[in-house]
Amino acid sequence: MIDPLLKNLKILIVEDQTEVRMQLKDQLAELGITQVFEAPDARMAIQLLDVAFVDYVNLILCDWNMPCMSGLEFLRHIRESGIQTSFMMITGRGDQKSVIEARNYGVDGYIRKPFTSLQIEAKLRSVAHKALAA
Amino acid sequence: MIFSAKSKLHNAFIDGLAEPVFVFGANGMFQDSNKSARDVLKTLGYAEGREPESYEAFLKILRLVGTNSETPVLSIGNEKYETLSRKSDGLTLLRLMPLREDPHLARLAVALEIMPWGLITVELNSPQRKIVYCNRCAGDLLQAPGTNLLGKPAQEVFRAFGVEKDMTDYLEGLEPSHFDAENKKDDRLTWHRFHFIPYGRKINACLVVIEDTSESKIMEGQYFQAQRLESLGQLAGGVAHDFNNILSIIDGYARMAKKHIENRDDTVNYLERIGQAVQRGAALTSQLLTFGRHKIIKDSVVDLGVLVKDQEPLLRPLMDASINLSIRTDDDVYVQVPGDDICQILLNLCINARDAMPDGGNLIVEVRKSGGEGAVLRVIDTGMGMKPEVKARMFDPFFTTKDQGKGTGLGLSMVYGLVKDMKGDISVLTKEGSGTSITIQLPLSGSAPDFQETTDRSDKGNLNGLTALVAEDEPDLLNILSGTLEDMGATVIKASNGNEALALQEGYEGGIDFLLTDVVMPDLNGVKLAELFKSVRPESKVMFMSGYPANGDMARVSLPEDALMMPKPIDVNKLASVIQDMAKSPSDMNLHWKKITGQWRRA
Repeated sequence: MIDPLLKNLKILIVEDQTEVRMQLKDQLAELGITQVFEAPDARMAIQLLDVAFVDYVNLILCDWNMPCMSGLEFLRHIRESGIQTSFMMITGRGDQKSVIEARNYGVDGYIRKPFTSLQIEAKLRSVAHKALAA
Repeated sequence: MIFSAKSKLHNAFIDGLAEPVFVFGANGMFQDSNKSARDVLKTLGYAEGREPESYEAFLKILRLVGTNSETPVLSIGNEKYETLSRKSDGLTLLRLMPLREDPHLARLAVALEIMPWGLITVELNSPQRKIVYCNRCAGDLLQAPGTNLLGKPAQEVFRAFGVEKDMTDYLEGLEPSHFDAENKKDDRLTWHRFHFIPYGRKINACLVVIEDTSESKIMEGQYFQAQRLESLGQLAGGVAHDFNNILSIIDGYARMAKKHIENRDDTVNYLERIGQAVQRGAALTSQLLTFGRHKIIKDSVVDLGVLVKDQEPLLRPLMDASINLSIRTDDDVYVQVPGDDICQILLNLCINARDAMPDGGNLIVEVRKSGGEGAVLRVIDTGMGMKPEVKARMFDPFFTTKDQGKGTGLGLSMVYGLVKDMKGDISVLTKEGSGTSITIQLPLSGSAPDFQETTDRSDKGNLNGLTALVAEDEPDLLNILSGTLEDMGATVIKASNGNEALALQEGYEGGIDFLLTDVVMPDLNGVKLAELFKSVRPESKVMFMSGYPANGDMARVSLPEDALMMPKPIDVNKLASVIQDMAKSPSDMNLHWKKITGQWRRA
């Protein structure tokens, strides 16, 4: 049974590794989330948000380590632009200093790599209410 | 012919006989024969007119030609004969009696063939233990009708019928034995009893009688159900009465607490009494759930004294005010029995004891540990006692001395059956006018129960340093639980549903020692919540709470096999001790506790 709470999420995935993007997309589809947009890097994501999606997307799942612009820099950029969309960081490491910094920019949670479908569901449910209310 | 006038009679007599007759003289020499005897001589190869030489010589020839060493039966041509000789008036008469089928035997064979029990004979001389006889019913039962079982190994046939067990010991046993087989056929359960009857060592075979016991099994089930309903009817009255009392107590003290709210001591006293009344109610519902359960509960080691004491809230309302009930128990009387059955037995004996004391008296329930007797459960009343003729029949089914409509006479027969099932013994001492004492002896178990409630209560209520995430959709209950845990020193994160619990734990940077969650909640139930929670916080423990029995049909969601479950209403002391044990254990997956009959055990 598809949970209406999750079904209404509209997600932008910012991730440079195609396999991770595909895996996430599949897992989101299993949860009934079909409104999913993809960006291979932060610059493309900024363009997407600028052009059309800023009021449409209600959750951003973003990789921490990306070429050109890191996830943290991307987060700082959009927050400074006044975009308050819910934001979850996908990370392979637990660098305490960066975590605190990200927290200060209003990150809503972390998804640790490698992740399972259950973990993704737990993370999405933990943020869904806030994401949908915004 | 040398026959005299007298021997002419002989002549006429032997000629009149249908069977062959030879007559020999006192010297053993042949004298005469009748017509059929002459036909036999011809068959034996005697030339026309040639006579047997002497009695002895003729017998030798007969044996040589017509018999084998093992049977005394002569086989001449197509006929079989038995030889009979008789001396009369100095003559020896040798009669060859044709062997015909015995009509009794023939009738018996038909009876065996058409009887409604399966009958097979298994020979035991060869290792295959082949079937050498099988009647029609056995053929129909054990295989498709009409197929031939003869010559097939017995074990193979039993296995095809669904009996996996090796039957060698039964087949070769020197004493009669039986085995009960349960089968599922076309989604219907059937039961058969295989009786094994040895023929004896000389013949070395086994007769197997197969009896369809399905009907009596079903009757037995209905009989127990009827008994259960009867007891339940008796209970309902008492329980309703007691429950109303409990509600009145709660209502009364709540009003008094409100009225005397300024006087702190009074209010605390009233609130404590409300708490006690709630525990009484909880014990009552727990007992009712145990009683109403239809599932067969496997034997487990129980402390008989604790089990019997646990029944007190159920027994007391059944007793009139004029009956003084006292329960005396020894410690550590461990027996391996189904706890439910003990409750049934106790209930029946106590109801009978009550009915034997219409004018009141003492009812004593004792649990003793006795070296000679094992575990002893004794129910003593000071009632009217029994006449010898009543005592003699007291365990008979449907025998009752109660008025019509008050008893079916099933209670004590069921008690007897249950005690025998537990490999126990039951004895009765009674004297008309002085009372009755019923003693049940059960074998003691070598080991203690799997889990005993912690006796060390010194650190109970101390949850300092632990962090709990509590998910409960009933706001009052959430507040009460959180408040209680905080009072014990725990840090509590309160969530009114599953998704909120996930969000709160995501934002919580510290460790969470355990999640305490209701099972049935809207949107995200407790089981799913626990699964998601463990995926992101694998080091945390999980405990469920529910007002429904663990894994019962009513709960709608089934808990994982190894889940830790706390029944509602929550017993705060138990909650604290279970949390402490859980926090100490390396993994909640190692502890499998469920609430069954008022005491905690590993499932």
